Amino acid sequence: MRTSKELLLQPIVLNRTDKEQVLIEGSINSVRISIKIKQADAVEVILTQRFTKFLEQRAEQFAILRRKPVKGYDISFLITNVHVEQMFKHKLIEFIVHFMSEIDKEISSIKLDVNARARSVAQTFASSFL
Amino acid sequence: MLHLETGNNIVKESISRHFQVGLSNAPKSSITSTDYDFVSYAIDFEKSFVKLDVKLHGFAVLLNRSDIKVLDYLKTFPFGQHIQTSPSSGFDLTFHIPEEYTPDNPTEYCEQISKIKYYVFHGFLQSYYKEVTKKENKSIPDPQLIEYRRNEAIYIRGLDDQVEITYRVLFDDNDDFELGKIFIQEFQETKVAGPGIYTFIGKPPAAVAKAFSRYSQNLSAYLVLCLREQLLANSTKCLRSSEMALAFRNYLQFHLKCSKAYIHSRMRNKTTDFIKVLNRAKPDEDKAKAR
Repeated sequence: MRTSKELLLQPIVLNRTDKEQVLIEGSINSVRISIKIKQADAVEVILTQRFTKFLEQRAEQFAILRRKPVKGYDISFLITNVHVEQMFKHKLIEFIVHFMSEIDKEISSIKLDVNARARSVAQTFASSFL
Repeated sequence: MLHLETGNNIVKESISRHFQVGLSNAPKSSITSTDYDFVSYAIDFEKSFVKLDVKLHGFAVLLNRSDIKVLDYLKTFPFGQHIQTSPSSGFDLTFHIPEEYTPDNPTEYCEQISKIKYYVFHGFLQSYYKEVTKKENKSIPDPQLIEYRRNEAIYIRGLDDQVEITYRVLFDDNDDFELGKIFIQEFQETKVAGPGIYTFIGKPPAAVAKAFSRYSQNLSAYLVLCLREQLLANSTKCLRSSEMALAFRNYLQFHLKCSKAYIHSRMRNKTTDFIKVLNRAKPDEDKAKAR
């Protein structure tokens, strides 16, 4: 892997914060985009692991999703020349940007909903004594 | 919000059917069931009576305390007259309900006998409740540890002004533990009037640490429920407190599993949304072919 230097382009790492990164590795016939998703606490770590595993199990439906992320990242996409011939380039880029914004939002939203449910469960239990 | 039912529905419906159709028309096969606290019920339809055997598992220690007469409390119920002096081998309680017996209120009888586990627990707790409401000459019974599940236990401790029930809750894996911590912390932070609730993650509270010393601290949490005089003001409140106290562990685990199912359904919906967005990248001819 990555042994023929003539075929590879310079990889780029984009850091939003120290916990959010995107690695873009290009070659002559494909691009690999790896995303490290923001995980503020243990619950977000668990939710991220579950969600990315869930997505990776359905990698066939996505076509451009890798089943295994690059080491140090949470999820990886591999867009080859075949995909670029079969799909619109600008729409693929739109999807990647949409994915990155939505996955953060979804994980935060699930965490808030779990907290709200826990609060409701605790309040119902305590109030049932009276 | 969904509370779990407190009685055993299989026992309730079997005994209820017996009262409706009589012994001659009752099914000849025996029925055995076990609930989430490993309490087993066995119902046999004999020639002249219905036999209900109950194996209380971890709760059997409550019947064996010489200073607290739980059986005397059970005998105050309509089903109390049917408790046998010697239970069947391998069981802790045996009821023989004669064929000719018809209770004044069959629905209430079936409801009560299906909640026998709760009445055993309440019969035991009553001795502690009485001391809380007494003004003087208190004689608080000794604490009791109930090991009702593998690596999970309830510790009952009476104090002058409250009864403390400490739960050791064990989570199945690290994911359950992290999600369970959210629930446990919300129990502590709830501002609703009710019992005092204190929670501890990993280590038991210092006051009862000795009782839980043989358990490991991995994947466990402790919750202390303080039942004060306000919750023990009358017999209805006392019974309600005992029922809620016993149902706590199953209630928590049930809602934890429901949360995991909810997370899964959210992931499924979001994945479908992502696939829809990705499919916009495909030219129209490909979409038409796919249709």
